[in-house]
Amino acid sequence: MWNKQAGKIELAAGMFLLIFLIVLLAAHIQIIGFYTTSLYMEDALAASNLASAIIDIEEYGITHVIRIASPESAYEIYRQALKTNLQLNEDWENDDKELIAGKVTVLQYIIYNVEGDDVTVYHFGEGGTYSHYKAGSLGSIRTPDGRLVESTSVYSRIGFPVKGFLDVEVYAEKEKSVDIINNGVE
Amino acid sequence: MRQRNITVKKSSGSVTDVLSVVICMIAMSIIMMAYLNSIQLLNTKSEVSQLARKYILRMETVGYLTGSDKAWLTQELNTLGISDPDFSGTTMNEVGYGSPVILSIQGNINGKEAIWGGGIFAVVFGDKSHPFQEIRMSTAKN
Repeated sequence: MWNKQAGKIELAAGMFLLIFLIVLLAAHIQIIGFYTTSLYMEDALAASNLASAIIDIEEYGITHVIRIASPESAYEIYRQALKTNLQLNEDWENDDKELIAGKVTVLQYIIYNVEGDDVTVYHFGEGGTYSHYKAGSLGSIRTPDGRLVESTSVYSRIGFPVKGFLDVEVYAEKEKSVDIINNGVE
Repeated sequence: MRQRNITVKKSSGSVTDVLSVVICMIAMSIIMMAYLNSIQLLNTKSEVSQLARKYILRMETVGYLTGSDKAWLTQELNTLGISDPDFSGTTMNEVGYGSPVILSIQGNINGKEAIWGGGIFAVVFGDKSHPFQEIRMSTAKN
């Protein structure tokens, strides 16, 4: 003959709540980690864009035109600044792999040189492919992230893998454009 | 009206009746404290990054980290709980237009760590330092 003993529902409920709380807080910490990573990458991109904005000061002194004199050297300065700002090694990876889980790739680097009403675009793609062209008149050109080009500006976009909860790897991209006169202030 | 006598019999209690609840409450408290500590560390690191951004922009306009800026930065880092920050590798002498300027901040962020003191219930939170390094590079626009 079986004797049934009284059960304890509070044990099961308590364990459920505990596990639910652990999962909820772990997910929240992960979200905050992703948000912090996003801010960190945005800061690094903005700083690297501004670092590459070396204008021709002699020309500025004569004509008061603000334009980036050498797009090729600006691109190299941008790459060097990005590598330093993200603390990347020679393989363009982060040594501790806590925020950035793998290789960082520069997908696009674009200079918008404004001279009067004309806008000339210098475009560096993935792998350093280069092209330049006259884009049109001032007031009609926008950067890929939607910002209206009002004066000489720099835009860049990078891609990188991010490791999330349970070591799931996600590929992320970050873009930023800065107006070198407004110094990145939006 | 007829009165009825109702006799209430108390059954004997046991500490095991509330033991599971107490264990859950203690576990939840430990988890919440660990969570709050993690959030605080992330916030502090984020604020250090914002400080670095602010001072690298100043270094762009001047060409180096001035003595007064260094003192202000040290004070602001101390306010965040970072004592004795190290600025090795920072550009301390003025450079010309277009030359690289670097701001390097190394230090320790103080946090708490759960330490098992022995036994199931002996958990304490001890101090733990988390080393960090913040590097910003730009070019002088002076």
